[in-house]
Amino acid sequence: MMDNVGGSSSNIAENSGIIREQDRLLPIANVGKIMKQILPPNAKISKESKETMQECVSEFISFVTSEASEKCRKERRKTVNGDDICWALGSLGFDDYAEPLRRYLQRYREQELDRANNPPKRG
Amino acid sequence: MKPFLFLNLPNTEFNSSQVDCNHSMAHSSYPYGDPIFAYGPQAISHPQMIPPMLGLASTRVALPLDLAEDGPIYVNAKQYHGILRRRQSRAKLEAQNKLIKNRKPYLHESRHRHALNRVRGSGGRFLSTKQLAQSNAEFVTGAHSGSDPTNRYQKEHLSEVESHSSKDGDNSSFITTCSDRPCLSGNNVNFRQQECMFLGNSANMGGSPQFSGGLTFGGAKQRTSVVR
Repeated sequence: MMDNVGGSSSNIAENSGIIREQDRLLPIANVGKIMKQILPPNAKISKESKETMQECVSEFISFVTSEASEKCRKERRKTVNGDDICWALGSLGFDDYAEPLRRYLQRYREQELDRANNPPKRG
Repeated sequence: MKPFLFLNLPNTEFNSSQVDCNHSMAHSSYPYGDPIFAYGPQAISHPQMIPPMLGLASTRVALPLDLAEDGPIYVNAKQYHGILRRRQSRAKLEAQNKLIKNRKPYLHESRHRHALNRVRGSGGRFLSTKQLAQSNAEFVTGAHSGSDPTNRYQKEHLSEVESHSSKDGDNSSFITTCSDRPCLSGNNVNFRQQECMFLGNSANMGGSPQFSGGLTFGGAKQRTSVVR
């Protein structure tokens, strides 16, 4: 098998510029856990299914992020924030997902604000 | 230049970007067929299960024909430029030979060798510390004094083993793939001394390594068991 990574050290891969598998894809265990949430308790998921879903969701993340990054590039901004992701989902036709994500983002920001206003006291 | 109908694109800026895409597309070549990711809007109650499918029938535009052998592939008009942009990004990475072609059965050599040295029970599952103690007690008191469970189980070639290292409320899972390649001689890692840090329920997405394997060796059929 052609092994692009020399030896067993992951530092060599990082220095040679090869994008490692763990940098390009989501962890396969987490993908399997998310897939399992929707299935019955006794269902089994094959390795091939997890890898296919791993490729799909990783490509989808790059797809949406690329759309958001293009918007930031046109507006000469350097940071892609949550609003840009929600806008990108709507721009790509995923309106059914953009609206729940906006509500999630709003609730997330409220929690962050509460945490900032009430810092945990140091004993 | 191929004429395309822009149904929902009144902005002329998109026309210029489309021209740029077509112009740069003419110079790029795709040695490997890229998968066509067409994301259609799907009104399902669980957004994490998003199946890739063709877009809406009323607003579809044709992608360039250099990837599809069986005719044009129609996608959502809103996603047209995004798909072309992603194709260029993947083509650039392909040209720089930065994408890993074959997925390795494991990510870390040391962890792989540690997993090979672990004792396995019936069905190929790893034995936990308690089970190992019970197994040792059975072998000490049993009549099979000549058999060594470690050597017997190490000789088995298993395609994939997914088991829990501990049943005491620990939800971490250890996934590894045993390959037919001979194990490197040298470090005999004792699994009691070097315990791997398994991923818990709260996953650290930043720097946590993950084991993932893609190839099947020796024609062995893959057996996947999910232990909750």
